[in-house]
Amino acid sequence: MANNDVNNDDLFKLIAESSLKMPFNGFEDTVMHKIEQAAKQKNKYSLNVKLSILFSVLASLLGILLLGLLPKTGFHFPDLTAGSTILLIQATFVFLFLLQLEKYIRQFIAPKR
Amino acid sequence: MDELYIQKVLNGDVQAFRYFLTTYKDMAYTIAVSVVKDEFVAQEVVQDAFLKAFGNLQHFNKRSTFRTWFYRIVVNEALKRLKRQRKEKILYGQEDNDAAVDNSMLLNMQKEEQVKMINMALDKLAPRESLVLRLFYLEEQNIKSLSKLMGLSVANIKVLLFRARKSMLQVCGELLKRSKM
Repeated sequence: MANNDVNNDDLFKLIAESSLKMPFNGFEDTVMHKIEQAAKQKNKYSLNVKLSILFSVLASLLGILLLGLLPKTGFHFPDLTAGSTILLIQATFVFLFLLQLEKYIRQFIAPKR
Repeated sequence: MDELYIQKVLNGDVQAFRYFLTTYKDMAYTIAVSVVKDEFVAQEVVQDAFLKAFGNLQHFNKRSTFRTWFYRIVVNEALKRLKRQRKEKILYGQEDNDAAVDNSMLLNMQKEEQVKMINMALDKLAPRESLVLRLFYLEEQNIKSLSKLMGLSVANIKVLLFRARKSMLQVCGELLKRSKM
């Protein structure tokens, strides 16, 4: 039995010498190619996100400017008074602004928690 | 050395990632094949693991070594693939056979034959058993790091290792018996 235990120890030592080699040639090149593509996608995505933030900020500023100027122009929709028209446009603006803000919170703040 | 290349990749040098491929591909393949038992599937698992490691490199918090972090990804990917394929078959290790097996014949073989036989035996073990043996003996991981790597408690790793050793002896014995015939 003692002899058998010695044999068993040797047997397990053999596992340490039984490492396998990746049998597929070109594995590294294939993976590197995919990684380069992933990196390109990532850069493209990050550029799109930056552009999207930039245009959202510009649109919001323009919206605020228009809301400020609108009462002075006396513009109103047919069948609506000037006051109701401004209220409707303000409500739409606030709704769209909050919708966009929620998207950014979901995308950039929530995943980090 | 790993830290240097991690920093390079994070600074935008994508080609620096090749260092990780060259250094870890063989061990990652060994781990993957222990679990999925198929060399083509194992290759896909390793590929996915490298892509995942690249994509999440900025989240690597350096609380463990890159090696442990990456092997954990490989193990998770392999187990996920195995689950998807519902291929987990326990071929050995279920029977409680205490019969002593004389493996002296294996030790008298040529080195190449020994390695071949060991790999055949590991291939016949249940995925988690061959994985734990590979990591313990080949990578010389200790029980605590094995527990982190495989997502099991220390007690479970000890039980698994005990069972795996027993199954390994049994499988080796049976393979030797067959080769004698």
